[in-house]
Amino acid sequence: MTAPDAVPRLRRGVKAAYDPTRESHVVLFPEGVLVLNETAAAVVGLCDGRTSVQGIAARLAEEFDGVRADDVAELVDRLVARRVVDVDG
Amino acid sequence: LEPEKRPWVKPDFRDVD
Repeated sequence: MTAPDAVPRLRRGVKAAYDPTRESHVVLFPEGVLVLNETAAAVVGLCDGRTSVQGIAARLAEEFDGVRADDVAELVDRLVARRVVDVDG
Repeated sequence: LEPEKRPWVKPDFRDVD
């Protein structure tokens, strides 16, 4: 699993956006489109290449009750597997 | 005399369709 001090960032050519048609946050990348739920969108919004997984969880804890850093790390793992996120560290 | 926090839901995504 992605380490707590790993720093995720969206890969080049990948864009996070809000799709008003689907009324959902999406990730657009050359191979397709991912539709995110609310918390996944919040995580992706913090994949800025500066904030660690642990830092993302801490930031989200200001907005959400019961944030689990493991959930953040697991999502980052899945996004790395889909080649939309790279991890430094 | 704090905005109410939203409950944490496990982050998830799906491919379109």
